[in-house]
Amino acid sequence: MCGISGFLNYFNPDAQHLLEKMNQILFHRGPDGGAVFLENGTGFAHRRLAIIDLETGIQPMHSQDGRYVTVFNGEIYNYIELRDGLEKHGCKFRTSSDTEVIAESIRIWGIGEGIKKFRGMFAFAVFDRTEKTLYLGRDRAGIKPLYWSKKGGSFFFASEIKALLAIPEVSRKADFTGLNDFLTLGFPIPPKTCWQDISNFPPAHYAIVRNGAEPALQRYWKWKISETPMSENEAIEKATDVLCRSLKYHIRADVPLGAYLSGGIDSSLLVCLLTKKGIKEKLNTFNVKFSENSFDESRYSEEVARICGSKHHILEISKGTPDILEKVLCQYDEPFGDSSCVPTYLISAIMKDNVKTVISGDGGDELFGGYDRIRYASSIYRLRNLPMKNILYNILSFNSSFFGTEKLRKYKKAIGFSRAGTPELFCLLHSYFTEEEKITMCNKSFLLQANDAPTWSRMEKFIPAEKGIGIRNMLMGTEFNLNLQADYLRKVDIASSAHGIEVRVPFLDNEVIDFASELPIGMKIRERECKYLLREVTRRNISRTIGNRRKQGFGIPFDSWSKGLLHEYIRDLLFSKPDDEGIWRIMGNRKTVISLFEKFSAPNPVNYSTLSRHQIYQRMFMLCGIQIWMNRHNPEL
Amino acid sequence: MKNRKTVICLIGQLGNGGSEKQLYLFLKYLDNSKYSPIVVVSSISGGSRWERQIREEISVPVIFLGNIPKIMKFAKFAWLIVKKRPSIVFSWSFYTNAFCMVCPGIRFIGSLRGDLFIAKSQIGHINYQCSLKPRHFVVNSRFLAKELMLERIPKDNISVVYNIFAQENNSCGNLDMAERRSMLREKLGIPRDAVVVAGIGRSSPEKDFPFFISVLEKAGVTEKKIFGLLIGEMGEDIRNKIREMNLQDKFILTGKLESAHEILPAADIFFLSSISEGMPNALIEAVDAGCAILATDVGGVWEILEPLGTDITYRIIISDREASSAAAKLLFLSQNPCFMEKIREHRMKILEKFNPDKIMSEYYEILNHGG
Repeated sequence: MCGISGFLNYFNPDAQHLLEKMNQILFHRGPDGGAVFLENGTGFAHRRLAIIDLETGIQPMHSQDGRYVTVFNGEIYNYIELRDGLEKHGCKFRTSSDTEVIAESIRIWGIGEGIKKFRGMFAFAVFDRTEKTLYLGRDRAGIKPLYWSKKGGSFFFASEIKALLAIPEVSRKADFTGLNDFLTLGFPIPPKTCWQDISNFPPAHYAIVRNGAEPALQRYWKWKISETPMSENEAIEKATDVLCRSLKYHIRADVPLGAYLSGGIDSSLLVCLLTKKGIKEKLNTFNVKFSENSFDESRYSEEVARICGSKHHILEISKGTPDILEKVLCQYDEPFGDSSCVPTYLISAIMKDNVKTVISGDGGDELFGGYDRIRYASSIYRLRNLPMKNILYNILSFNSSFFGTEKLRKYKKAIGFSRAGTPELFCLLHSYFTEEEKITMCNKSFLLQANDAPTWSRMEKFIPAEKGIGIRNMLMGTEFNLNLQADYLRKVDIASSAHGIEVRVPFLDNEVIDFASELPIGMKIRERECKYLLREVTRRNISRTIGNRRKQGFGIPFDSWSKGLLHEYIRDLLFSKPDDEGIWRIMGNRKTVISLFEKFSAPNPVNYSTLSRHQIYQRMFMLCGIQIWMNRHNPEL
Repeated sequence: MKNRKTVICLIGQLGNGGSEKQLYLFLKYLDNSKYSPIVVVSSISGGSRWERQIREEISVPVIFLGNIPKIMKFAKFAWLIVKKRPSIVFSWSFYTNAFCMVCPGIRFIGSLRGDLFIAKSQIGHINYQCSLKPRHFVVNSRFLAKELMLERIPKDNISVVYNIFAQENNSCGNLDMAERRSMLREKLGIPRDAVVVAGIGRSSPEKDFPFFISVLEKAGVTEKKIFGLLIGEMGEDIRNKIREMNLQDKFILTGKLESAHEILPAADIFFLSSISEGMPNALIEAVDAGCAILATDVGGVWEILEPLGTDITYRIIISDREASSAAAKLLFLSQNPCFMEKIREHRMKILEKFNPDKIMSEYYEILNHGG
């Protein structure tokens, strides 16, 4: 985990000062050191979290001949193998770090071929001083972040939005389409952010930027489903092999390494393979514990730790405080709707006292079919062929006590969903605020300034286009292409980097991804079981209890937290503003928000006609996120 | 004249409303060397102003399908299609979009001119689904386009064409605004220094005049000079409400008028209190009359007022329908003549959007290529 930032073609007398300022803003990402490089309008800044080659891996790093300058955030795990290959081409290396490999790969193979050989997580910038060309690249899944902005012929980039906001030329105008999509999905759809002038650099892409010209973006890899028939035993054996190989790469570090252990399938499996297969003998593992039983997974994580013999640390989290909520949400520089960012942030805080690098199970759900909603989707899809489904839907829409029962409401919802196209169905399955809710709750001004089309219409490019792969593969592909980068990985990156910790994700290793794309869908999702293959590997290697566990989201008990200090804080945060300020510039219908808040504050769960308890608190969390963002950054709306 | 295209304009009813006025203006400006329009009304004659003007002033034939069962109306319209062989059928109401089912092989353009969610709640499911069948839609606000897109109508199949606004002659000749104002106030018996707040329309639930009255009552506590001017036919409920609140001295009700533009310049502020609108013509007329604006956050309002910029619009649009916050905004306006003037300064920019030539060129584009 490092912080990189920089610019191209920026001839401002204050350029040096700006570069240092951007670097200082990213201090938390790399507390071990920092340096800048500035030459003829091109500047690079780097904050370093030293993981590999603690002595000589200082950046910005110049190549042996001085032609290339590199700043890099992440790890290229196969750098030893790449070095061997490059040395055969006559390359000489001054350091033993992975950073030096990037520029030499570009020199020998070109960026298009070189980047395909990298096995790891990375976002880098390389400046060719001879050709006056900037190369940027980001890993396949988007593990490492990169943002950019182009203003008046100058090009700027940084690991986090906050560094780009320090640039005077970058405006603080809010992006209404980004905010609109945030309300539906909990994040803006990349490449958009909630800032008009700032874009997200797409994963699996590289860019070549020359002075004043538009950046030439090129995709170098794409998630493709290529199912290959294999037996169950064969699949289990292969899964174990690829995961072990991935783990061997992922433990390459010159600093203490730990693992996040929730007690769920993914993290348990990784910890177990690490210890039981002799990859890493002594391991620190970490988890959080809530006083609310339904959120507490600690007994499962303790069991896995006992089986694997790891030294297990549990952080007990009591009631949430306004301070925690603000601190966490402010890190994201734009509204962020996934409430699990709070425990992720808190656990990172305790991990930093023990380790510098952590293994995490992220990516397992997206690659191996871990979400129940994907399973539901195929049932919903079957309803498409239901005869007279529109008539049935109308009958179920009658507002009567009989048709109001929970079960029938679910049927009605499922039939309603079955009429949707794939992108719309994806939104409905995730949806925080539906399109209809947005129309009734939001200011018309906001809705009109946002893109006219509904959020789902901007999602086509994230849906795998291969014919005949089936709805489950399509939705899983969308989870991988969209939610993974914009929600889950972003959450982890921001929460961990705030504490100077590097999180490594073995499930997102190139070989594991390739294996998952070959795996038949039946090995991922079975009639009643999600993530079938990984469960089977877990049942055989760890315990049947862990393998059979139902998936539990890594959320916060916002519901019970809201009864304490947080309740007053949220009321004040949202309702103290007049109706032309703050969140009311987006949410026009104050009465609906008040009614939502009243439901949220109700002491006992009641039978809600349309929203579940979880949906209510999720919506409140999002509204708080918007207001906290506005208070912090004062965006122009 | 031989090669003129026959265009059937199909409308649900021909009353005195805004949609009917828009149909009249469309027909008035339509190039009759290229198009031969016929108006078909799916109900019976009401002898309204617009019916009269369409028939007599611009000589467009009007055919009524009559008060018969719906299925018969479809059959009658199908027969009319065979007989008239139109090149285009342009459904002017959302409810008449369903007639596309009996127009196979004919270019059919549908419309949406009011809130879709309200239409959904007012007509049956089958009727609603059939009304979404046309291949191409004309809507008069971007917001309505957004609503249609939620019903999975592709963006490319929707054209946003704003209402036509044509300035009408007034009886005050060349008097400047201030002179007209004082002349009208004298005529209506309103004190010269009053802050006059006008509302326009028939007293339907959508216009929500009780809200209008409540807001004026609240604001009147602080600003004694506030005066309400309700232009149009008001029901007994509105009169009772005014009496109940003891505001008889603070309100003038003009009763039914052919056109509001003669009276509107008497007002300082126009207050749109509607619950729902497609594209409020009254608001455009008020801008033309030089009134400052206060409006609820309903369809079309933001689009009309867009040229004012968000700093102004957020201060004059009421998003929560709370009488107290609306009264606060009204007081702010009434006590800040400079702010009111700022709104007036943008008058021409706002009206430009609704210029007849501009709007008609957009209609021609659709008549030639849409549907």
